[in-house]
Amino acid sequence: MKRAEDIEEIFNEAYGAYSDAIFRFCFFKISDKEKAFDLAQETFVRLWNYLRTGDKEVDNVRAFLYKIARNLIIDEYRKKSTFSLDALREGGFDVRTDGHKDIQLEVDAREVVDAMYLLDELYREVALLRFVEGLQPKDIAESLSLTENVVSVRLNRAVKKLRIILKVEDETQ
Amino acid sequence: MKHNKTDKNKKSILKEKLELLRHVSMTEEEKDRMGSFLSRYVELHPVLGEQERVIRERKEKYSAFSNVFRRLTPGFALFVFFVWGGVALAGTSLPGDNLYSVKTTSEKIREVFSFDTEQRARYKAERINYRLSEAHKLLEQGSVSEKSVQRLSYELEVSLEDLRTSLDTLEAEGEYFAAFEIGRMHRSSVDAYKDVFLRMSEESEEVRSFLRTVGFHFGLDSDYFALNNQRSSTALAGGEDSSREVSTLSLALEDETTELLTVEEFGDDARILETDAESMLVSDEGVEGETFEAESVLDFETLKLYVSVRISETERQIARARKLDPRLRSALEKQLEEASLLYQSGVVASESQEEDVARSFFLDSLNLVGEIYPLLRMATNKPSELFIVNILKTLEKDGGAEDGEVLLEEEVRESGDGNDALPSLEIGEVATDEDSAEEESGVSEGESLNLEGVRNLLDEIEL
Repeated sequence: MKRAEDIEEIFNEAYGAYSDAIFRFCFFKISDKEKAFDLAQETFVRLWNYLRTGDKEVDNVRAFLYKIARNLIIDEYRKKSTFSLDALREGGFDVRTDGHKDIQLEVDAREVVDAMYLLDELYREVALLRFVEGLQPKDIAESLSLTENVVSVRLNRAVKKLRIILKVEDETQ
Repeated sequence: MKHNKTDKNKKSILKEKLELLRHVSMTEEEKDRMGSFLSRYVELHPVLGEQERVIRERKEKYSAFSNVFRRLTPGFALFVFFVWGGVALAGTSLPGDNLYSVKTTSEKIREVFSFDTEQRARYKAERINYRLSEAHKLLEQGSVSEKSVQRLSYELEVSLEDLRTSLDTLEAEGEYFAAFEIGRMHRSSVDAYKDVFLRMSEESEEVRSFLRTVGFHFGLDSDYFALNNQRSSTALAGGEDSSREVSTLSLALEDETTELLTVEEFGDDARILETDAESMLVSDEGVEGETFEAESVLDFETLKLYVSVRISETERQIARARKLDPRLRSALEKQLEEASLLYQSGVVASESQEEDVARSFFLDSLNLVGEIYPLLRMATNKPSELFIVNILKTLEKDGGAEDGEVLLEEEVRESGDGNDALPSLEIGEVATDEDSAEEESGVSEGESLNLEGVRNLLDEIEL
């Protein structure tokens, strides 16, 4: 059994390292900034409740967090069957920069966000985890309860679609 | 090579673009909000200690259960209401009523949920008892119809067959005592009802006609009844001796259960086969194995222990029965006292190395105790005056309580060289034999002992 201090340390580290990533994950899945915030917060509450019993081990905290978040999102889908993309565009999002406002960065980021939303959700979530969060296919598979094979196939298709959407092919030709 | 390079470029451009998404995040204010919320939460919900963990696990378990239950509640409550209500209404129905099928079905369901063979057999015996009480009610209310008679007849036939099968199964499992006792209980119950019906038949042609149809199920053979109705009625009215003649009817359940025990009681190579109408003895070397089995099954010490347990259990049962008619209570206590005396006699005999004598005492004691159970059950169920009188009569008849006589089958068990035909034995009948080996027990042949006699006998053995 772990000491209380150790458990708190694991939790604080997880929060520091992954809170933004979890928020992003929720944000790209649910298209609602406020909701994404609530879900990200709830994800950490659940992690704490799991850890505080003291007799449970988490091998991969990151994957575990994505798993919790994903389940919460599924619950949210059940509660509310449709989400509006407009809510995302109107509500907007913050592009974090180092102190000063970078308009070009914000414009570029918005373009990619829009491109992401043009992807099918299946591809969007694997693309996000792989290219934005930098998870290995194995960890993605664990987080999304999929096999590595399925993850690889989806990643492949996601890349092809994103290339077309973001006109990456045109630029390189 | 060039192609590879292009592909790499494409990838890196895409990657760069996607990495822009890393800038999508919560604002500082949002981060602070979430951070302070989580700190507060962690403070209010600290890491659990050992004890708290156990309590929590229990709570979670309960909560999971209650959640499921809560979801099921409305539908479930409605379902229970209808089913329970239906069964409760059907509980008082009689054969021929619309809800009677619900009643028998609910009984069958209960039977299915008796996983223990003995428990199931007991319940089957009880079900026959229900059918008899229904017959009693039908006759009392005068609501006998062709439909009700047909239904009751069918139910009795099926139940009896079921009980036989159950008792066979019990025996096959080696539960001889249980089979014996259940068979005994069943017969006592049938006996009591039979007397009631006969008494009722004296006054009503309707009852007589009813018994002609249904009576054979519980030992009132239709032909016999038709021929002997007058005689039986007179016999019943005439007193104890004659009423025994009624009891000489072979009951439907004089089956292998008692057969196995009678092998033990009546000799090593003699076997009594009881058919529907008569008892007869078959001398057959082929049954030796079976006899041996019976002897080994009836292990002496087990028998002794079993009887003692039964006596104390019955004592408790009688003490607990609050709504018992005082006359019945006194009669049952008297019978138990006799059973207890017989048991003590057995103990004394066993101490004197008189195993056979002791065994006989134990079996007699067991017989007496076995009769008390069903009577007790029936007697606590608001019996009519006529019913009480008949139960009392049954007790007097079987136990010889009226004049304090105790009938010892020891005389019969010890009799004969085994190849001679034994007289057919009937309930309550005192069988005697010329060749009794009574030297051992000190009981003279053909003698039926009263309680005083038993005490004297014990004194002699002790000396």
